[in-house]
Amino acid sequence: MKLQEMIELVQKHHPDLGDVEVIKLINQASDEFCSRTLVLDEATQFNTVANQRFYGLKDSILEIKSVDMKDEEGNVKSIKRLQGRPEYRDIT
Amino acid sequence: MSHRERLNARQTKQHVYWIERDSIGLALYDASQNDKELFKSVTAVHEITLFYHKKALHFGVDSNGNSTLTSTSLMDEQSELPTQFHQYLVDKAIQLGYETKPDMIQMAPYFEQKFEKGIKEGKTFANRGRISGRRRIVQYDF
Repeated sequence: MKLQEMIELVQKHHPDLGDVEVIKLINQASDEFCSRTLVLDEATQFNTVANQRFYGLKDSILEIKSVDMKDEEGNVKSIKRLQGRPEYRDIT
Repeated sequence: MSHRERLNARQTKQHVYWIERDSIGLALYDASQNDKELFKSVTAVHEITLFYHKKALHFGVDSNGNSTLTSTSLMDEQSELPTQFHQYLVDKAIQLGYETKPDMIQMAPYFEQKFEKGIKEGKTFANRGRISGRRRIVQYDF
């Protein structure tokens, strides 16, 4: 369904709402739908930087499912998730 | 292989990740080290692939976060969600609209119910094992 059709359907009930207001409501609905159903999956790649421990995550990411790392020999291995966080801190 | 050889061959180093402050932490875990040296930052360049659940891209915003509200193609955009769920987004938007009108608020629960039906269908769809792994429920004894 195109955005135009969605807006028209909402405006049948709420003719007083402008396009931008309706888009905001649809976006809000979409966020709730995605976070409650976890229906959308995606993968992304990046390279590590020497001695950097933390890498920012995009706002659109709801939950990390798994992480793969390519080693020096070019083998891609799944790496394990740590329960909690390291006791001794390095916030680089 | 003798017991000693097995022990010596045991892997004591492995990379691990964790989530903290909206970031992913990556380190090399070395069980043979003392507490302070247990986790070391990665010193080489490695290619990392993240697999994750995400929110759909907002209408009126492109993938770089720039506004497309004035774009001529805005009205032709479609949600990233599978098409069978688009009507539920409309239902939720109608519900939210009614919730702001005190004289029509009694209409909101009807559309909320429709949206909740969509949530149920969405969870079933996400859990069918095609687009992601099935969710495991681990039981614990207390």
